[in-house]
Amino acid sequence: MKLTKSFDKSLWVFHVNAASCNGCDIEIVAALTPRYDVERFGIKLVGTPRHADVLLVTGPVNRQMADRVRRVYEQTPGPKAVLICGNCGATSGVYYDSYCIEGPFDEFIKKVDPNAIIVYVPGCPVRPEAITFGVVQAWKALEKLRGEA
Amino acid sequence: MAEAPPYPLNIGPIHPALKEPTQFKFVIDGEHIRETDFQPGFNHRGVEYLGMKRNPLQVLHLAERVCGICSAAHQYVFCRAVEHAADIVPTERGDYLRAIVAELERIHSHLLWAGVAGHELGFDSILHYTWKVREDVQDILEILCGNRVNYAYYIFGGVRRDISKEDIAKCRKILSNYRKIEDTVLSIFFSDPTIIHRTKDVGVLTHENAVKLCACGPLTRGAGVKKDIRFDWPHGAYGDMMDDFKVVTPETMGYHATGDVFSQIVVRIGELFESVRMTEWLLDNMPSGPITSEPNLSALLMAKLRMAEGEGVARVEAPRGEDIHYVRLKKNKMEIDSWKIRVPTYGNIMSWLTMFKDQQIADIPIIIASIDPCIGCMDRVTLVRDGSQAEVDWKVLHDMSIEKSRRLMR
Amino acid sequence: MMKYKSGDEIAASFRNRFKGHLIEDPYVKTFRNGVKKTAYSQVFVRVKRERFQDAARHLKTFDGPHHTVASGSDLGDEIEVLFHFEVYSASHGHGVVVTIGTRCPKDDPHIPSLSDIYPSVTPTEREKQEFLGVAIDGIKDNRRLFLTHAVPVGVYPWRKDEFGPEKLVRQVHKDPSGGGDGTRVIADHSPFPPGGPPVKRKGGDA
Repeated sequence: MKLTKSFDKSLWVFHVNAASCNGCDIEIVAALTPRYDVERFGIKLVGTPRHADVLLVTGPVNRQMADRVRRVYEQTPGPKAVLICGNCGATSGVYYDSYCIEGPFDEFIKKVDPNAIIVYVPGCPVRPEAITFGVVQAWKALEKLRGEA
Repeated sequence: MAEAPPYPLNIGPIHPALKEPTQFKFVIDGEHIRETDFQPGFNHRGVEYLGMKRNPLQVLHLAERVCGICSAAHQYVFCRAVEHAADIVPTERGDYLRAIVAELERIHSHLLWAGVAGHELGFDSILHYTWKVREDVQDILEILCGNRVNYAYYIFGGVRRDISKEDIAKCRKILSNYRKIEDTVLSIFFSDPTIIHRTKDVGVLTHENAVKLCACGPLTRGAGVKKDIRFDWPHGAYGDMMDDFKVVTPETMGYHATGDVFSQIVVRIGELFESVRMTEWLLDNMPSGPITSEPNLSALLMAKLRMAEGEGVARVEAPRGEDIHYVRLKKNKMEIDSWKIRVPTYGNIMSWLTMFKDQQIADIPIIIASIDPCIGCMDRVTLVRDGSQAEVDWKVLHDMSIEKSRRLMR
Repeated sequence: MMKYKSGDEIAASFRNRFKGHLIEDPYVKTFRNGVKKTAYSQVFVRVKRERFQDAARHLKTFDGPHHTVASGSDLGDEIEVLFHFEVYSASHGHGVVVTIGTRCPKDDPHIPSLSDIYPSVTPTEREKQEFLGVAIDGIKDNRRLFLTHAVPVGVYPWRKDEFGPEKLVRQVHKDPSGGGDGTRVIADHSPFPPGGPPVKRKGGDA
């Protein structure tokens, strides 16, 4: 899939909360507000996955949300990247042996789409600087797609 | 052919609360809400079950991950519950440092709420202003605890880190900045026409319902009930502050306690600056001495907690209301035998549902936001009409809210 | 000026009123914190199931009972449910936490509801039904609360016997290739299978 030139200047992000504890979520909002202000780079949160380039996922995926998160992923138009914020999405974090966790988000999403571009931002919770850095990494990963037909 | 009213209206379930990721099911007739039901559990992670498989020190780590916004409150109340069960007495300085972090958390949480409430009204300047000033209290928390969220500050018997003289000076400087902006913030929230139009007489919780349905936190104080765990059940350093501080209600701020969203704004903004004064009081009156009664963690775990037999209830006033944990420990058993958490939003569910009665759809966001239910964003609304589903995202609802603000301003 | 009763007086009142119907003697824990050592206390009362509603009603003779939540645990042969209250709430310093609990055997898991006495208990009673597999008789709303979309009917997360949730746990570190396939648990609003709550006979099979 070829990217247009306008793509790499502004990434629109859709935030999916898959049973997160809110710690990462408030840091995401903090990243948008004046001190960190990622909107100056053209990064903004959008209200629907259909407008998004990047899916920003927090939390381990639990049973209730698994189906819904998969549908959100499928609704996001390609090319797209997944930004996993926090330890939970990468390893299920402190909730690893709970009865209602469907497993780390990356494994879960690889089943849906084996070629998914996944960027991990570790931390419990992630810091706003780390989120900004993670979005930049997603940006680079998406730019690599430009060479592909 | 269109169905006759009333129509069902579902909101949710993507909602970042802890145990209350609520899916709302409204029955609407035109613009008005007739009935409200809710379906929580989409964010259920089985924290209590996990706690019953781990030892108290491990659960301490888990407890603050119950909620990222009131993580200090959960750690605080869990420590207290274990102390009550195992008869551990915290040190005096430990009590004061605990209260300082709890009050700083209240400042950050109320500022966060104020911004989100402004956002729900379509008043994004407030969101950016309050989150800008909120970064200052995050700086203090980072100085004290080393992290912005999830402080890992509390331990059974006290706290983990002491505060140095230089840090106290830094904290005082930042707190004095809050005293400087107090008048600005009060005038924004109490006299801005948009806020007054959108929040007065919206989402009313009557005094009678607040008492009958056992509401807690700023919600119940907005309705004029003086329930505040810090003063009702004077634990920790709060017992020493009983004479100097009183419960903040709309009356103490010079307004009538009508129980609407505006009353809650008054209570929260009043509490915010009360917490600034409380933190300064605590810094002034902090006794010296050890910060924890048992600095050796393995001794604490092995000798005290493993041998402890008993149960304990503890409650603290989290920013959103009453947070209660029940813990039971068994002798010679490493794991916690029984654990129950109740977070403030859970206690307010029943009151919350009564607040939607006969309100307009455009007021749904602010009423949901008004009890501070760990909102961040609810993403999607599904309108079911004519048997087919049309998806309306949160943005559309938000736009409706903005449109209502504009209409009122004309 | 009203007279606030202390934790000891409240415990004594329950002791006298429910003599012969108590599971254990009511006891008080009092703590003193801070520099001024202000005292605050909590009372634990455990009464037999037959008098449980009466005990909750007796609490109303003290001023301003504020219901917070019910907790519950699996004691082996019995299930215990504790309702946590505060009396003298909104009193600026006189609040006492009172916990009123009762137990039921696992071969007859029924507990009377308090929803007629305290209207705010309904959510927490719904939670007890789905988490402990204990039927609350007279509950105002018999649907499940938190586990509707998460856990199949017949699994009760706080049970430590064969009705517990162990079979649903996936050990991520032991089974890295696993992971869910995203199939949705069908929403089921009934807390119990058609036959009612799970009955466990003593020493026998379920």
